[in-house]
Amino acid sequence: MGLSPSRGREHPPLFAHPPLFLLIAATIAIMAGSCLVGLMLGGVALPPLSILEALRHEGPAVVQTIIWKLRIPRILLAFSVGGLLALSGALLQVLLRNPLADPYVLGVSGGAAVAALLSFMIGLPLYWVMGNAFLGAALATALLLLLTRLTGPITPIRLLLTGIIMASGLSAVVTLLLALSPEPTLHTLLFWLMGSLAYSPGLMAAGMGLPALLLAILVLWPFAGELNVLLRGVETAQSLGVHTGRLTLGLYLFASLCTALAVTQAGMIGFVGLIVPHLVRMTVGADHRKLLPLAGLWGGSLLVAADALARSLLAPRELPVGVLTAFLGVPLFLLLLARSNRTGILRS
Amino acid sequence: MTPALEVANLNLKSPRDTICQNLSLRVMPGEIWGILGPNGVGKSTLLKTLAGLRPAPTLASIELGGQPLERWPRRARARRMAILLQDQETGLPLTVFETALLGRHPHLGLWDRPHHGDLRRTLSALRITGLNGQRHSPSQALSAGESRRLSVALVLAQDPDLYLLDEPTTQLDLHYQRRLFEHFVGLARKRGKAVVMALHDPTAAVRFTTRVLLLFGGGRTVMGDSGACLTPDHLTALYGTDVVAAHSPRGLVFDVF
Repeated sequence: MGLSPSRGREHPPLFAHPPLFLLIAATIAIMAGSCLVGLMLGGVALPPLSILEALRHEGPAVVQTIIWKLRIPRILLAFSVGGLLALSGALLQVLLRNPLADPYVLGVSGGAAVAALLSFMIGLPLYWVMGNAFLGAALATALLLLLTRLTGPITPIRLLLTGIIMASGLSAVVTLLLALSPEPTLHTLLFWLMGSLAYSPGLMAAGMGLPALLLAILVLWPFAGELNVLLRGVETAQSLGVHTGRLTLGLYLFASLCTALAVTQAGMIGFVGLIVPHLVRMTVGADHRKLLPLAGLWGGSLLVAADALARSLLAPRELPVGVLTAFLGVPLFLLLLARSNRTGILRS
Repeated sequence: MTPALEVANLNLKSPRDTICQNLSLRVMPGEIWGILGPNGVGKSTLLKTLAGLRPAPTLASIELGGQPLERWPRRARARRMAILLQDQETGLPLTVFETALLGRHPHLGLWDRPHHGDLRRTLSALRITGLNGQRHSPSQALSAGESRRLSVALVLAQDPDLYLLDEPTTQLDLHYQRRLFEHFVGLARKRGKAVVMALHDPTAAVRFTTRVLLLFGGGRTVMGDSGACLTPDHLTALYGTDVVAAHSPRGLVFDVF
């Protein structure tokens, strides 16, 4: 709740977390830093000076092309994909009241992947692939709710267990589809699935992604207060005046949409949706008024940086960025787990 | 005066048993009701039904402040009535202060930020529950008794006209049991709030409530003034164990041990 330490002057501040202007400054710095890294690193490492030149449309034409035609679209794409994944992870974690939830773990991205893969294989045009990915994610979410309901009451922990089992089922379907797909497209599909920004169908690269991400944050933000209330459980939320049925259904669909947009663009990138919301909570707490925008912006920055590393570590070979996020995500998560012992944040 | 809560023709069943049959009761502003009965008799189910968290049987009528419960818009209802549930999910970490501030949610519009009055009420709720010193701790870091007090603080911050409290003092030490009971008595006497609470301690019931509803199971209920209804005979029948009354300097006490 972006409140100043308020009028209780004689007391310590009401909110334990860093003041708002510091958060904004830090977020701008993180975004700028990751973009700089994204511009500098790649097949050819560019010094900051020639980047500046190229940004002003000066200097060698090759560098201008690299910056304007390759790296900037790539950065925009990575930023929106990372942001959408983090946002969707943050939503699923409140909905399930479980710190382990993310679209990858719950099979939501699996649903999007299966649908997108099928559409690729039967040669549908691009916008169909995207639409179907959303349908796949929404279907996976609906199936998750339905299967949980059919086997008993819908509780967060049962949803999580059902989601985990669905995710492994869907990943088997993905493997099956890959095994059946013809040799020439196999490599592309495989890389896309492992999480790579290099095979993006391009719609988002044209600058659609960033507005989509910002729009998502804006649409969600008014619901931040209700999400906070939801942290105390469904019954408490109802007694505090929240239409929990409407809210949760809408949010599941919204999370599916975010996931679908991300998966269609970049395949299955894990860990961003899991790690980033935790990172934000460690810094500013679980208040969704801050958590949602920061998760979106930090998640974007993280994926921009990870993608820069993926492009440059073994250049000219490009690594799937999903591998990079996993390499970053595993130790980072363990670190958070160790820290949470002290702060009591992941204790449940 | 409009009743804070008026119930008519309420038949409630649990999977095991009938909770109440044709229950009709009227809770007036300033009254404190105690609901007593053995474990599993349906006290929580009854409270949740009164709060609108469970669907009421079609024939029953439950009116909050003179208007049928289901006709209240959700937020307006939450400004009018609060419920303290028995167990509380705490999944992800809000701080103690942020948690208590959630009680102000029904008072805030979609784009509102909590203003001075909301913060003041929240702080005062934390002071009453003795949590002011821990307001920056994550709510998961609290002990069981402190978490319970935090749930009470949230309900106090909500500042409704009618409080439904499901065993408000379980897990609390003696100091806070007394302090919270006395606070609710004060709210009823000075500010005309109505309180309905499920209780297990007949001595506390006789000391702090004005009216009681005894749930015996099998749909049998007894209702009336606390002093008249809380007798050793009723309580012995209620709990199926011998309860005796004695007089202490502060008044009646009930003894089972």
